[in-house]
Amino acid sequence: MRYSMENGHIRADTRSIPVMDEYDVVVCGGGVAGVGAGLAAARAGLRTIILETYGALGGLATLGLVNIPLDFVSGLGREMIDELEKLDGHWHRNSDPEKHKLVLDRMMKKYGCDVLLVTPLIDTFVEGDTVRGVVVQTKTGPQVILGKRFIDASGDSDLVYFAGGAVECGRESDGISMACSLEFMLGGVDWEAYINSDLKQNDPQWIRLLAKCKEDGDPVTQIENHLNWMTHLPGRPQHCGKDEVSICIAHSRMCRPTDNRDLTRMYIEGREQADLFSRFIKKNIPGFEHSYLSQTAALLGVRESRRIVGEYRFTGEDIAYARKKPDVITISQHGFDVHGIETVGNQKWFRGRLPDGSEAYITNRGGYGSLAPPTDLPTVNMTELIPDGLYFYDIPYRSLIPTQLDGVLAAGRNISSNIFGQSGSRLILCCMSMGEAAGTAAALSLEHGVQPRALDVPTLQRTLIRQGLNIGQDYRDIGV
Amino acid sequence: MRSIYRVRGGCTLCAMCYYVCPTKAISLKPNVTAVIDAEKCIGCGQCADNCQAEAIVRVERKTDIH
Repeated sequence: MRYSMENGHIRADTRSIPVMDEYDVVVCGGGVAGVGAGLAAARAGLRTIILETYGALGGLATLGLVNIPLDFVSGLGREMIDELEKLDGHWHRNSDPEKHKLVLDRMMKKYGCDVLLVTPLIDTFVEGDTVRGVVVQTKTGPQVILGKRFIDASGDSDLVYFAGGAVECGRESDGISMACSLEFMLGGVDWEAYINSDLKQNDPQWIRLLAKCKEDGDPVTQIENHLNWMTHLPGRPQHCGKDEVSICIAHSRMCRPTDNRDLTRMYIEGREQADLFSRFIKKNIPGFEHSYLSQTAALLGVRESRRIVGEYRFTGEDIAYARKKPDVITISQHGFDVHGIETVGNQKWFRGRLPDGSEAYITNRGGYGSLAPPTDLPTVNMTELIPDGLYFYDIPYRSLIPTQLDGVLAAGRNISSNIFGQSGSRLILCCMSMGEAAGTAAALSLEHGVQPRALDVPTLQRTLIRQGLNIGQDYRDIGV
Repeated sequence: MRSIYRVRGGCTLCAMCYYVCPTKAISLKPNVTAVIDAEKCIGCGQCADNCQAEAIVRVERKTDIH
């Protein structure tokens, strides 16, 4: 390639980029959302490929050590969990990241979905408002993959952003995202000793322990004020002090996850934090006396970043009121949970409106998290707003559809949402189900010769239910 | 003797047990914990299998039927 310097930018000569291949459905991102999308499209008989930047499928669920597949298990998610269980790779909603990679590879083979690993997306080919292809980076230079439908499961809306579609990121005031976490694993743990300890029984999130250590000036208390989660890896020898756990407690604040400099900062910061925490845990937590840091995640736990601007913006109110939507394609039960943007702690509340129109701080079922709401308004538990006890909420199909672009659907953490809505809908199995819905919608839209936004939604819903996806049909009448 | 399940420390109120319980034996006490009604519990263990926090444990209970 020839380049010339022009006004502080490098200008590339007109170049032609070779076309590598052409597919019916091209999925950008091989996390669980992309996996769900790719498998669903391939299962429908379409020639499908998943493009993944890193060396394995599963994204945060595998490379990110977020081995905690939460939310409703159904459809392809059910098959994934069943396959993991056959390998002794799942229990108590904890999975083994290595076995998880293997399971996903095998599912690709079973359904005939192509995969390109180590192949980042670098641009898109758009005609009018319709995406026709993506440009990927390969070892022999950029190449084009053409397609009829595209699914943006990149987590950061890379495809929609490169195609010039509207996006938003972070909180509304300044675009700063939720805190990011680099998860880490400890080996040499006596899990039984921990699970039966007074600490686990009486202070399971280590809130009082960390508060006490803060008085003593322990540096870890600058990083976080509670244990976010700790998973117990299945398939390890038990009762012999050789258990392994994955821990979410390290946090970087004031994050800009679409800025490579800031991402680099967070990886390095995360590794320093894992070092500090592993020492702290060894010293203070029962059952961890002989533990050691075995690894930090290869992929930073970005909870929220660039999201598409879609036909419906999913919000915190949708979760607080457990709203049901006519175009539901996935359900979730997870409440809002914004990890402190500026400071330690998590915010499981937001300022919203009550049914009478007045304002209040609406909190999660389990309380407000470790960042207390202000006292100027009343605090209301969301459970009080859901008298019918149907606490789950619907993800609408419209949140997957970008406003301007055709030929594209989004799935995963980057659907159209505000920061509070997104904080609930980002769990692993919810993202996988969204992917399954997006892949199925892509297939149906091709079959019927319409753009995804014009797809007949009841047809999609009936297909999803037939495929075994839980879109709430067991709990209420969806009307299809 | 038959097995039933109860919630001990560590419940995060994620509500997964509430959804998977086949006999609707589980209720949610906002801000505190999930609670299992011992009379309705049939001991199937679905709740414990789906508990991310390993907060649900099996306990033995004497049956009322002699």
